[in-house]
Amino acid sequence: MSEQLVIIGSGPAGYTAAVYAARAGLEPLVLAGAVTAGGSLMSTTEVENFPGFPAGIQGPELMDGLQAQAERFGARIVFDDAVAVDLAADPKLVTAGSGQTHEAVAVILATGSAYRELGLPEEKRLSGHGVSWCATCDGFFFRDQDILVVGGGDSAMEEALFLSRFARTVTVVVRRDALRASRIMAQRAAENPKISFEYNARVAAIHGQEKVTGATLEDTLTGQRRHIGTTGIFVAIGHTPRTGLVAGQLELDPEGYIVVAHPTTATSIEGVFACGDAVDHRYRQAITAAGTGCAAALDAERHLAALAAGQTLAADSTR
Amino acid sequence: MATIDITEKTFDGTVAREGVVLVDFWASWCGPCRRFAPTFAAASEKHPDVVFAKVDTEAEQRLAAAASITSIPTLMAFRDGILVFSQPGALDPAGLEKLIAAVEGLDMDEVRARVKARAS
Repeated sequence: MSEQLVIIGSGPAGYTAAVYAARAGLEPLVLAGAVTAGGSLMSTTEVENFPGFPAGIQGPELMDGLQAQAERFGARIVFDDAVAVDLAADPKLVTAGSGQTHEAVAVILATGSAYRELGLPEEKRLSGHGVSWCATCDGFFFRDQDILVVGGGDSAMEEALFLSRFARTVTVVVRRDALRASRIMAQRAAENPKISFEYNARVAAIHGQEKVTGATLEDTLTGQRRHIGTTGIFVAIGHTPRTGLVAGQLELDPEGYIVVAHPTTATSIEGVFACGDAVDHRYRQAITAAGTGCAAALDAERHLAALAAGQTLAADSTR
Repeated sequence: MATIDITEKTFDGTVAREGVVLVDFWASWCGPCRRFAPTFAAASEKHPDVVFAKVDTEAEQRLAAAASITSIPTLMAFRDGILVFSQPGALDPAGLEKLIAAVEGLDMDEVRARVKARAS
């Protein structure tokens, strides 16, 4: 099938790009992801800082709304992954998990990021058996238990606060001697009687056969190790960009994020635009992702219009 | 066939039957569960001979605890009443098809022999 525009990804970036592109009459095809549709916000609870929702909004509800808004204007959303791309080809080729290959004049990459793992041997084996990356999914099953949250950023504070509704105690394991979280989140966590902090500490080992039974904490200053009993370990130590799909085809930075020609969303390949957390490791907010998704759609629209007018535009002169 | 909702009362009777029974443990607040639901429902239309059962872990807390659920979605597969697969995490449509094919392709005489050997 030949498409004007294929959007890969469906977080705030992908869906906002879809809203703008659909309103521009581009009838974008959105490969929303087979199991990742909606992006990171699908595993959060209340989003308090998305403008226009003074009472807050649930992450999944916000994403349902964005999806419906994109569909309203004619975006075609397919719940499948992009498993291969050829961005240098003309037209560009995007192969979905179903095996179908789509031709596209322009492509927007909004593939987001994945949870960073601790990198411990027991982590994978006990994943889903006490090790979790989704407090909102799994917290409910840890009622009256003692649990660990690993990480010192906003997402770690959010997880700890959410888990404190169920758990008996929540111990936040922080690598450094201070939190990286915003002041409001750090303050809320500090004021919560169920939450305590272990600074200068890292999880050195996870214990348990069928389920998590404990962990070894290591003092990052002295190297001293101690055992801590716990049944749940919630990992919130950041993200890695999900850009394996385009590695080797597009310019990526040393950490794997897609390089764009700021302030545009143009990548190193003409007709390929990138937005959201796959690009941004600085702000990483729903609203910034949505903002760059909008920019990507406008850049793609301009590119397609220029092609239609028989012109070629240099990537950095699209603004 | 559509999916069926099962409870603590109907769980044993549902999974004990001959053939393949898949059980999806989920909850309304769980984003990944919501994403998996259409995949599960679509597969149920494709496989009329397989039972696609769902357990709402919020309503069925005792059942979830008895099944040692600590993460959702968790998918279990039973064949002829024997638990042959249990794994947390949402599968994509291709992964679910692969699982169904694998469960249908099991040599149940061998599985029963192994269960017996483990029990003795």
